[in-house]
This record gives sequence, structure tokens and C-alpha cells, in this order.
Amino acid sequence: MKRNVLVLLAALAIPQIGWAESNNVGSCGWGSKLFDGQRGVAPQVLAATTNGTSGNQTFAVTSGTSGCSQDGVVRSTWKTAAFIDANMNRLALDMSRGEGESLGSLAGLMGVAPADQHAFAAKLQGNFAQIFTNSAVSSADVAQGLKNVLAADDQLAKYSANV
Amino acid sequence: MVSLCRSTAILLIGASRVAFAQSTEPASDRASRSLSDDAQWRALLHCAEIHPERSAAPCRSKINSGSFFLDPNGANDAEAELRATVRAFRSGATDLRCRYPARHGWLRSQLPGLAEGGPCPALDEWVSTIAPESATLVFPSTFVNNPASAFGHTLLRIDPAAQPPDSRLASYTANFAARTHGENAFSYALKGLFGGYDGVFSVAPYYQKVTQYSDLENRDIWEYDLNLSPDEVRRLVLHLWELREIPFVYYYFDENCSSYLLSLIDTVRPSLALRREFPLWVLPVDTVRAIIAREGLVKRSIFRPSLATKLRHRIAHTSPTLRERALRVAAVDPSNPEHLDHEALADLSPDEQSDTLDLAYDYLTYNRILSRDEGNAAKRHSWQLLSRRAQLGRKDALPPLPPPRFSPERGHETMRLALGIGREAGRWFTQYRFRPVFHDQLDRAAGYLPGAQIIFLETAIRQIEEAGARLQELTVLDIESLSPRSRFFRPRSWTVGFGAQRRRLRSHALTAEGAKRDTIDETTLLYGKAGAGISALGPGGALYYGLIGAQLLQGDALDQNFSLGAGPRLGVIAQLSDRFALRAEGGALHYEIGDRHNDLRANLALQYALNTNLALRFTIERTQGFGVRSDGGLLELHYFLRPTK
Repeated sequence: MKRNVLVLLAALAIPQIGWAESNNVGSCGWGSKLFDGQRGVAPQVLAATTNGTSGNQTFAVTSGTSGCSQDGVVRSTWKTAAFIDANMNRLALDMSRGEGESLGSLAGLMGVAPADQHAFAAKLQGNFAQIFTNSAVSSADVAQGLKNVLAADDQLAKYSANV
Repeated sequence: MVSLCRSTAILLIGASRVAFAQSTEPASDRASRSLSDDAQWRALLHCAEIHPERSAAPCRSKINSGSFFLDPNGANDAEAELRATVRAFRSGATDLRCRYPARHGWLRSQLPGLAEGGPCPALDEWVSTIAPESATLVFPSTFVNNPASAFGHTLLRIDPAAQPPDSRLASYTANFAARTHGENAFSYALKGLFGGYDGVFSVAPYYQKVTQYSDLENRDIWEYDLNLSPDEVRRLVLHLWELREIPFVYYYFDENCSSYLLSLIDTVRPSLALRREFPLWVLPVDTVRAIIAREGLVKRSIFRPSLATKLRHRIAHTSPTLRERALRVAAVDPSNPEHLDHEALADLSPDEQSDTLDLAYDYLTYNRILSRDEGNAAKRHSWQLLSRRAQLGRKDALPPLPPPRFSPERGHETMRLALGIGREAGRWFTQYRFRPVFHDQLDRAAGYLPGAQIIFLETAIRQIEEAGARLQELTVLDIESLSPRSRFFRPRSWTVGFGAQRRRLRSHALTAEGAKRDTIDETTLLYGKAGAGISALGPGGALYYGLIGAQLLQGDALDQNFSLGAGPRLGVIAQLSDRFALRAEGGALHYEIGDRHNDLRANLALQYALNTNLALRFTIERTQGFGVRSDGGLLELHYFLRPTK
């Protein structure tokens, strides 16, 4: 634990070189792609192997413990970035239909006011092609597209900083 | 700042020493022992013996690591561990205080002289990110075609305050599981059964679990909101921090994901004594029952359908015309996207188009995951459908999915006793059967996955008049997964099983004079069988199935001591009414290798459910094998019970 705190402090101290990405998904170095990681489970006779922890099951919930430097970034936007990166497929589906639980969760994480939620969903559905630009789009690009689409709308521009 | 806190603490400790000389002085044996006997302390150490109030028994902690304990003998001696902990806290060691916040919090409530201490940055950030307020028990249930998952799984979700139901996905979960290394199924099974693994708690966002269980594994999820106070949930999270990376003893049957989840809940409210209810084995669904049975512990339950369940619901609410169109959409070649509009969606109104696209997309996703297709063509196709759907600008018109009438904990209990009388080869018998887990095709289906059978270690003892008692059958394992095919779903049905059974066979012996003599002997044979085939739903919802299987027999009474054969099985399972169920089956095995013979069998079973946990079953059977023709009938009373105190 002490080591992780030191890592976090060290990461904050190093100046950000090449700050090309202006959204948090890119700055964390994540980049899952649309429709990736969807391998189903082959039928198992004896084992409920899915209940095992093979893989990177950790305790990491915050930026510091997962090695993502967040110089001055509010924790809520880190959560948003993590959510986009891990929920690409569900977000794409929900945005195409203008509603859905994952889209609602994203709105919640971004602090979208209840009065703006309908406009939020409709705007994203109408601009789907600017956000999910192709079948292998990365989460960083999705976040950037989302940011741009929101910034271009009078009512929703205030949320674009939360991506 | 720090020195002010420390000097304040010294003042307080000094004052308390004067005022409460005996009761707060842990150096006194009586005081520390009475504290260490407390159920709360023992729960925090995960002692094996948890009495709801206090116990002086040796701790024998389930934790499999010395690094969790401050005293070298802490795993067995709760008092020594308590003294070592208090010593550590009093010494002002920040890192230990921040490592054991749950212990610290409780000891402070028992020892007023104990200082609060300064902030713990990593812990505080972690806790505030999780933002604990309420807890929900999450139960992913059965996966179609994977009966082993029928035992289910349990994990805990921690929800922040004022969390609207729409945003539960971003909550964090606590999950206990074995630390495996990707072994094959057999190694996994053996190690899991015999304690070859450690288990650990891990924390992950709920959306990760939902993707895994709901989308990738097609398991319906039940969520039970627990009535734990915000303070209790906060203490649970603090204790979880203490358990990071800490390995526990893991045994598939009784020290598993569900037993440790009960222990975790017990640590914040030891009076619940949930873990104590299960002295034998611990099935996840039974732990759900135990929790629900506690007055007021569960506020309500929420059903979260899997991808497959949502797909079935969508199919049921789509007209046959649009179903066909959806299949056409799914068959469009992504390199010719114009076919989508010109052929598959041609002449459809925008509403019909969006309904068709919704069904086609869900169907494609389900199949892409099932077939593990990660090719670019499939991705391009999915993306084309989403883009087209977004252009239509409509919402999903599907009516909401109603939760099933029976949640899993309302099904029959998992352990079964059967008492029967019957007739075989002209003689009467009584039969006693015991099955620890789990469910067969005729047991009442409410709360269980239709077509899925798991029998483990069922023992049948038969007492035949004038001939005494004998082991009729020991079913070590019998799994049947009969999932019906349709236009949209094409699962394979399969069975596997092995055990021992009593058979009557005709043998030809030579008498001393050299003449042939025919006798019918009773013998016990070991068997192993496997089969695959297809099932389909017929009129009235009856399940018809056809399987081709192979069977291997072993026994001294067989020529060459073994026999290997194969053949078909055909049958039907039908729910005749709410209480009546029927199963009829016929099968033939031709044994070609080893002891050559044929084995034909036909049976009919009728089940009547008296209530959830009591049933009558009447079976008649005719077999012709090993040169013996046998007719029999059996009437049984089934009683289901829970393996708890």
C-alpha cells in the first residue's frame, strides 16, 4: 500500500510528455476496441471455472493503484474513462437505440442532470457516426468523439469536460 | 497537526488509565480474553468457530497466510492476536493502523483510550471511490448448456448513496473465488475439490461482472437488496481492505464463494450467524435461501435477464414476418451493405425496420459470442447494423421483460430423500434413495433451468423380499443438458455420467459333467456413459429429444471383464399440468467390444408434485439385456430438504 502511494506521487511529479490526447481515456493509455473481448464460455462439464480468479482480478478502484497518472483530474472523470473503456459494446448498442442502462450509467457518471438526459441520449443517437466511427474504433477515439459532439451542442456543452 | 493529535491521544490514554483502570487495560488477562472471545473479534479473524455472541474455543482461522496475523500464533490464538494488535495500535504505527481499519474501528469502540490516529491516504481514497452506503447480494444463476453453473454463484455489490437504479453498473463488487491458473477442466475439478487452491476476495466494478455473467455466459442474475445499515456496509468495506491479497483455504464444496460471502456478512453483524447454518456443504442457492429466510434482511429482489433471455423475449414479441426479415438481415454479407436496405429491410416501415434491426443485432451478438467469432467481417456487420439503427432515431419498442414467476430460491430444496416400494422380476422390494445435489428432469421445474439435470452421488439401496438389501445404484455423476433447438437457437444436447449399478445377467456355465447351465446372476457393474444429440419443443411445450450415446461397462461377470457399446435414446419430457410431469424414454445399446450383447430399455415415469418439497413418482420399466428380460414398477415418495442446521 505504501508502495502504491509512492508510485502515485511519483507519477504525478513526472511532467506529462506528449500530452496528445485531451481526454482521460487516452491519457490513461487504455485502448480497448469495439467488439473486442467477447469470447463466450465453452460448455464445461465439471467446472464452474467462471467463478475462478484467473486473470487480473485486483483491488484497484482508483487511478493510483492502476498506474494511470491523473495530474489534477477529478476522480469522477477517471471513473467515466474507465467505464467507457470497459463498456464499448454496450454503449454502442445503447447509443444506437437512444436509451439503455449503460448509457444511463454513463450519464450518471458524467453528472448529466435529469432534465438534460433525454437530450443527451437523443444527441448521441443522432451523432452515432461521429462517435463510433468504424467497426474497430478505440475507446480513446470514442471518448474524443463523444467530447466533440457534446461540445458542439449548446445545452450539453457543459458536460463535454466530464469525458 | 500530527503532534497535536498524538499529544491529545496521550492525554486521553492517560485519563482513561486513571478512570477505567481495569476494563480498558488490555494487559490484564481477563479484559483481553473477554474481548478476544467476542464474536466480532473472532469474525474479523475468520475463526472457524463462530458463535453468535462469544466463544473461547481456539480460533483455527480459515485464512491461509501468516501475513494477515500480527502474532506468530494469531491464526489459532485470538487473544494473542488481539494483544498484538492493540500493542501495534498503541505504538502509533500508522501503517498497521491503516492496514487494519476494521480492527481499529472496533477496538476503539471497546477501548476508549485508543487513539483515532491521522488520515490513511490510500485507504481513504479507496473507500471514498467505493462510497459504501448499501449492499446487494448478487446471484448469477444457470447458464444454458452448462449445468455445472446451475449451482450458481454469489457476490456482493456495494452501492453508493442516492444511486439511481440506472447507475448501478458503476458500483463496486466484492467477489470471492479460487485463484486458478487456467488449468484444464479436470485439474481444476480435482484441485478445487481437494483444497489445491487458495481463494481471495477481489474488488471490481459491477459492469465487469454483468458483462461476464449476463452477456458472455448468458446467466440470469438476481439481485437481493440487503437491509444492512450504512455503518455496517462501511465496516464491511473496511474489512475488505484488510483482506486484500489475503489467501483463504478454498474447497469447492464447503469453503467457497458463497460460504465466505456469508462470513463476510457475519463480520458486520455476527448475530446473524449465517455461516454456522451450513455444517456440511454450501451451495450458493442455499445461501440465498438462508439470507432471505432472515426476517427483514432482504428488502426486495430485482431480476436482471441475460442476453439469451432478452433475446428469447424479443423473439416472442416479434411477428413471424419480421423474424424472417431479421434472419435475412443477419445473413447479409457485410461487404455488400446495400443489401441491407434493398433486400432485407425493403418495404418495411421505419418502425418495422427498427424492430427488425434490434432483433437481428441481438441475435448476431449472441451468436458471435457463442461461436467466439472475433473476425473483422462479424464486427463490420455488427457496426453496420448499429449505424443503420441509429439513423432511424427510434427507441426500443420491446415491452418490458417480466421476471420469472419463481426466483431460484423458491424452487425445491437441493437435497432429496426418496422412499419407494416396487416390484421387480416377480418380487416385491423397498427402496431408499439419497441424493445430496441437485435436480433431475422430473423434479418440479420452478426455479430451475428446464431440461438441465445434475445428479451427484445419488445412492439407491434396495431391499428385496427374501433376498436382503443391496446397493442398487450409486450415481457418482449424471448430467443431462437438453436445450431445445429453434430457428434462432441451435444448442447441442448432451449427457455424461458414471457410477455403479446392480444388473441381473444370464451366464452360461459348464457343470462338472460338461453340460451347459443357465443361471441368472446378480452383479455390480461400473459404468461410464456419454451422449450427444438434439432436442426440440413440441406441442404443449413438451421437450422431445434424441441422443446417440456410448457406454462402457466394467465387471467381473462380463466376458473379458468389460463391454463397450453405443446406441440411440429417444424420449419426451412433458409438463402435463402445474403438478403433473411425465417422462417417457426408449433406448438401445449394442455392445460390440468385450462382452457382446444388446441392451434395450423402455421406461415411463409420472410425477405428481404435492407441494414444493414433496412429490410422488411412479415409474414402470422394461429392460432386455444380458439375456434377461425384466419388468419392474416403482412408486416413490420424494422429500426435499436443505443441508443446514
